[in-house]
Amino acid sequence: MFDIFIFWITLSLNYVLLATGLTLTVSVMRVVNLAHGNFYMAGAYAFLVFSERAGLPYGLALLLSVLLVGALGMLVEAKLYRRLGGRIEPSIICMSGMLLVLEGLAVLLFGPDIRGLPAMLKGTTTIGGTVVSMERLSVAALALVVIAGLFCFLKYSRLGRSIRATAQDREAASLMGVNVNLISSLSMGIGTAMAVIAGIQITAVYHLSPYVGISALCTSILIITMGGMGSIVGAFIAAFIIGLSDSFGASFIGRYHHLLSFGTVMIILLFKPTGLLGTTVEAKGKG
Amino acid sequence: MNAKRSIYGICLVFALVIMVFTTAWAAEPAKKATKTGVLKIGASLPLSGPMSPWGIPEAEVTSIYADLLNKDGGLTVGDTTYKIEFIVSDDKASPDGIKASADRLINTEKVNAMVGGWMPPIATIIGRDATTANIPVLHMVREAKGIEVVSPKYPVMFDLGWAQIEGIKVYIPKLKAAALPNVKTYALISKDDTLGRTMLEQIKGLSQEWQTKYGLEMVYNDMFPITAQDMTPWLSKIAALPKKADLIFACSATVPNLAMIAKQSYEMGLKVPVVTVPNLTDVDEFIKIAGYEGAQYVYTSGCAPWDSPKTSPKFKEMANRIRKAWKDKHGKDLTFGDSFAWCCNHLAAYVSAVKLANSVKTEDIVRALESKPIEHFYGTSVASGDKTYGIKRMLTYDASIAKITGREQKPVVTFPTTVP
Repeated sequence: MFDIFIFWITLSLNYVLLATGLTLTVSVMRVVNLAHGNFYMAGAYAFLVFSERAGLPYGLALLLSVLLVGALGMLVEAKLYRRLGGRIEPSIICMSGMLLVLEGLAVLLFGPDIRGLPAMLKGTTTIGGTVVSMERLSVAALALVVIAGLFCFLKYSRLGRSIRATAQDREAASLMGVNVNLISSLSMGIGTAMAVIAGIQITAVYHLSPYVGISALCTSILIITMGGMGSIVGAFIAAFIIGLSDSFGASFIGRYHHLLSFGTVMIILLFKPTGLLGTTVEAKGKG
Repeated sequence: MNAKRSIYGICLVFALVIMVFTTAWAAEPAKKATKTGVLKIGASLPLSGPMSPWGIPEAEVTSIYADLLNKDGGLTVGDTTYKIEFIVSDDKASPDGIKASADRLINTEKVNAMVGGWMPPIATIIGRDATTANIPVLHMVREAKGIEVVSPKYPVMFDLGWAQIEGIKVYIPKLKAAALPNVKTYALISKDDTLGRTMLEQIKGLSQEWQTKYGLEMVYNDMFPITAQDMTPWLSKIAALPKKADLIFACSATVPNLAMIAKQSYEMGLKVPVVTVPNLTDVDEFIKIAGYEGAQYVYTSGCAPWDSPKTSPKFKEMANRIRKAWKDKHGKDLTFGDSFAWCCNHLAAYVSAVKLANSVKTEDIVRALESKPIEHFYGTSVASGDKTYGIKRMLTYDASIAKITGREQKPVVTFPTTVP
């Protein structure tokens, strides 16, 4: 049972990383970034290049991947998404295009084969008589550090407060002197960086292929829908609930455990259509 | 005396002359081919999408083989020398894609024959369309529920591969006898798809027989969803069983599934052989995902032609030429994988059938496939007449199980799969 517990914690913390990144961009941009899962995948490939092909140490390869793909996320927001002015239909088409471009590029550059990524720590250790993978423990620890860092950044830094202000009311924030365009790019960059960290961590535990982005996107959407669009705390809680279904649920009800995840989301939405901690988010549509 | 000698001399000269003429006549080369032609061989394979890691190497290896056949002079039938044009169409592994791909190959490219991989839906769709167009098809059908609709109605279609449904009956017992004598219990985990369900049901049906005959007891069976990445929920249950499982058999597991089972069961301290049927496309990459230690417990189907005891020297040489061409291009060795056993081997069988029939007409090729020993990369097959899910014309070769040892995959046992 303890190994399932560790599995739950590891999985949930990475779900938090993945979904927090998406919820951050949703709260500021007001549109779900459909390419989020493929930024997750792109980050893992960038890490593969830095760590395996360039032979850089783990930490440096991770940092460079986060910076590179994070910057790409900012660029995409500034030069592509922003120009669409938050209009839903063009944004969805544009993001779907970005999803396909990233996937196609990955196939072109790395081929369709599945690959393994180096882990931060290898081997096993014993906790309370249960053998636990060091890889999973390190993944959980890093995720925890990053989540705590993000929480502190959003809560206590000036930029973090600006992000929260923009998420709450873009126009009011702008009137208060917040550079909302910069904040949008920064949110997208941070959201993408979170996806990259999750991508490097999760694909090291499992495997990497150009097609892993779609399932990551589906999981993140499920989590942010359950938690409430734009709510970071909601995403945190929802990630642990979905993680519970994917770990303990899979152990006890086997192959039908997805029914549990989706069933829970449906029940929550039935009683609280905005999700666990969500408030009504209206798209600032112009068209 | 002199006259007698002269007669002997004349007879000797006459005999010599006759001998020289007979030898010359016998040694006269076969009628030279005067015409040239092209034999278009089509294959419907997933070249994009998640199944493409299987489709792309399969297409590439077959293409190398076709090029080498052409380099060797092509295929001479009667007075015509044919160059082989291998045409691959991307079916995206989706029913719509397969239908469109079959349409393209049959109606637009107007292929002379089709060879293929292993997916049952492909076989079903292609079998139907190829029968209408009267084109021979060599495919690995892979038995699964629902596939009985294919063969009896499609007389141009041949299933070439190892007979999995028969092979499964002895798969674990053969492995136990050859390499794992201490195995007494086994756990079954199966992917929740057509093939997985078929295999799980089949093995569950055999469990009583295996227990009595081979002393093998099934201690666990369950299915995991096709979307499952992590095997912890199933492996932790296996780890907690009151009776320890000595072996895990993963039905219909994909390479990522297998890698996860190997990696996580090792990490959990299970350290038991993990056995599955599909082959690996890249052992090196598999080791990276499964971890070196976990991979050492893996047994899968797979025997390269250069390792197979039944491969003829001629095909062994060709296999090594393909291997070299692959290595020259990719800088790494070609592992057995799906890339060799299926499409490429089907083309080899087709070429053998054309040579035996000395014709490119469908009727003649079908007759040859039905009645003559067909040589290919894994030995020689004769249509057995076995009936598996209604597929009557089955050309089989021996099943092989290989183990990962170090960074290589080496066969540990091969066995016939056609029931006598």
